[in-house]
Amino acid sequence: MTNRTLSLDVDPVWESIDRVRRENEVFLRTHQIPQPSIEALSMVTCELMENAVKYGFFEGDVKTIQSRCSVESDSVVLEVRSPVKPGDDAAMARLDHMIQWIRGYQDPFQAYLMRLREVSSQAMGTSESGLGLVRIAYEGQSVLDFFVDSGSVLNISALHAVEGAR
Amino acid sequence: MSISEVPKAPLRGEVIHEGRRHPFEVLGARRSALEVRFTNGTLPVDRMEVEGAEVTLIADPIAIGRCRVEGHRGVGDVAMAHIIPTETPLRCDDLYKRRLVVRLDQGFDQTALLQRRKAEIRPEFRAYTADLVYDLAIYRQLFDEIDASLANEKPETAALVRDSVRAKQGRAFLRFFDERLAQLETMVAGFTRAEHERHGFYFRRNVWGNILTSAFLARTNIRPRGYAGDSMMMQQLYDNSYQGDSLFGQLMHKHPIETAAAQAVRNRRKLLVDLIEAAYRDRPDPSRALRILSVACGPAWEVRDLFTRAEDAARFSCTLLDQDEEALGEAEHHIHLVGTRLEAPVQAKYLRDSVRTMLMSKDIVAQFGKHDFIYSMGLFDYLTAPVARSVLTRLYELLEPGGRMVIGNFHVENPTRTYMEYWMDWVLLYRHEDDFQALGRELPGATFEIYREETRSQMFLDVRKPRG
Amino acid sequence: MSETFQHGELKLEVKDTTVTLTGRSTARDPGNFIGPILTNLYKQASAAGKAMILDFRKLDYMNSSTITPVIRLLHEAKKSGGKVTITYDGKSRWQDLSFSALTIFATEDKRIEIRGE
Ligand SMILES: C[S@@+](CC[C@H](N)C(=O)[O-])C[C@H]1O[C@@H](n2cnc3c(N)ncnc32)[C@H](O)[C@@H]1O
Repeated sequence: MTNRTLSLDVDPVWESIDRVRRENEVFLRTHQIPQPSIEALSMVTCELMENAVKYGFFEGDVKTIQSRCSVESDSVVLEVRSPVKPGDDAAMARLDHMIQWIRGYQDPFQAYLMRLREVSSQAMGTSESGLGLVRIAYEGQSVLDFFVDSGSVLNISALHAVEGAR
Repeated sequence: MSISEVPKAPLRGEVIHEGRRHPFEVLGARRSALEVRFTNGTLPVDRMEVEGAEVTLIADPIAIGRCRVEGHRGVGDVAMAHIIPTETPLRCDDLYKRRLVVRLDQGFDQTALLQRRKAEIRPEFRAYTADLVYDLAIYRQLFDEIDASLANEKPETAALVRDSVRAKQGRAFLRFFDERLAQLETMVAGFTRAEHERHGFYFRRNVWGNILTSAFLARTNIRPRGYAGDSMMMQQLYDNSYQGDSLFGQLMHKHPIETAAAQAVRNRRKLLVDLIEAAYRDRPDPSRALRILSVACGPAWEVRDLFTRAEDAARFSCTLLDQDEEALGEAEHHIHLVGTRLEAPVQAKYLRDSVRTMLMSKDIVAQFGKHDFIYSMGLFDYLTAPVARSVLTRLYELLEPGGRMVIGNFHVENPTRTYMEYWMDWVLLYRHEDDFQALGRELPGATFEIYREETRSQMFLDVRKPRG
Repeated sequence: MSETFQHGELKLEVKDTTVTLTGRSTARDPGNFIGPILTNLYKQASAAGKAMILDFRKLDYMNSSTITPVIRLLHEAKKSGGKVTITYDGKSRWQDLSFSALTIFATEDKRIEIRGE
């Protein structure tokens, strides 16, 4: 049986994003994941990795980003782990709130519309708006979730159902 | 709801009146008005429109157009006023709290985008929806007629008549609703996830007027606290009564809380009391109270049920954890009342935390204590496997040797699933027995049992930790 | 006459008042590179009374921050009365999802137009 999980440990530099994206793509292809899902998951990989590189706190014990891509019977789970600044509870609480809010809608398009109103209302950056997370749900057709472990490492995951399965 | 931080620097701006500028500082905001203080100590005008105003969010001032200035009467400070943008109404609370300039009518820019969406709806689904909306309108009008005819009746008489109508025509309507739901289930059975999403969206737009008549459906759709399943919804589920001003609204409220899933929520409340009593009988250390931890406790009705006699207060010691301040407050209030009624204060601790971040703490035992019985209902249906696994592992660490942990999760066979997704906009992560038990794969020494309650929609993972 | 700008895997080809984007836009802050090119061209097009055309059809991927300079441009156009047309590949799922949303900036007189082809 082929390995159903691909784990990578990469440096928190911009170039790592594309490396993880490529390796995930190859891995998903060997597991016969349909092309539309591979495209969606590539986008999700990039968005999650970008956030990890941008907002990760690499001055503590953990100096790398870990990525896992697991193929399950009816879904694919992407996980990205990156350290957060210890004690930055407010940022984690905002992430929690944001993810629950996005996931509250049966149709992520609705969350997308709401975010778009704010982004379009002025020249604001997309990262502040959470548009990237909404895009994971809407375009990436994935369910976001996260937890922070005792080493202050943020584990953010996206669950993508492979079409056909509900 | 944004992940950007609320800025600490004060928000400032200027009002422009007859060509002169009057600086102000923003002190607060309502939805459509800014609460300000003019920094030079007086109002430029009162109860009048000014030609323009600007606010400075980060760098450049942003014009917000014509505004009305209304002095604050009744407060000592004469320089305080409300500024109401009238040329372009704005979401002033977001302007103040999040430094976002969002027009109140921004959504109207999306009309074309929204209208375009109907092109992707299957014709048979459109037909189904249109027919349903029509048939619901017929019922609504008939029930409204009865409401109107009772308008001048004595309240007691009207109540009797309504009872009778609900019992006959009301029940018939609820059965009609059941049939239509069954058709909906058949129709969407083969849909892909994306199709469910699109069709659900289209469906709710069409039945929105009906949704709003129902206190329960309105709340599940609007989610005023940002998540589904808040303590008010739980209360409505537990009450299971006719709520609302109109007969039609009462029926639209009652229907979704008579479903299998709703009954399962009521069943699990009873089940918990039995489980806790059983845990008490088997408690590892009979010399002390049984320590219970409820994770995502919500309003914790089952805890109130647990205390019926004064002696009970000494039998249990509870720790209740939830992310929602309001739900915790409610739990605390009612549990306190129970203690007062029994004249024996209940030992309870209330912790506000999210399970997603509580794992961050290095020494969770020091923070949350060890417990004999841990349970969590209505939480795991929201956690994906990686998160659920790690939460379960950490909770197991909080379990005393010989302790027991019971976790609820809706089963994939939940017969109310389509109803919840299409009508309530309420999506859960459903599990099979296998995936559920797999979450606990790595718990050292644990033994498992999995069972469901009577309606078979709610499943429980019952975990035991070996004694010493 | 055309001019080509390249940044990583992203290429912007400017010809007359049309910008064609190809490749992948994955920079940390794509606005730094794309923003000034768009702003310049918008000014030139407006001065000449012409519509500026942004062609995304051959773009393979963009990260979510790439949308920021585009939205900024649409804002500017909406405010200052210039003409902008955006074309995207309506048959590509990701392009359709990302760009059809920009129709919220479209004006009835087609001064600002978002076209899926
Ligand atoms: C469906 S209610 C169930 C409440 C209660 N257990 C019952 O059965 O009546 C879900 C509760 O979970 C809480 N909750 C959701 N996500 C949470 C999280 N990440 N951490 C802590 N509580 C959470 C909510 O605030 C809400 O009170």
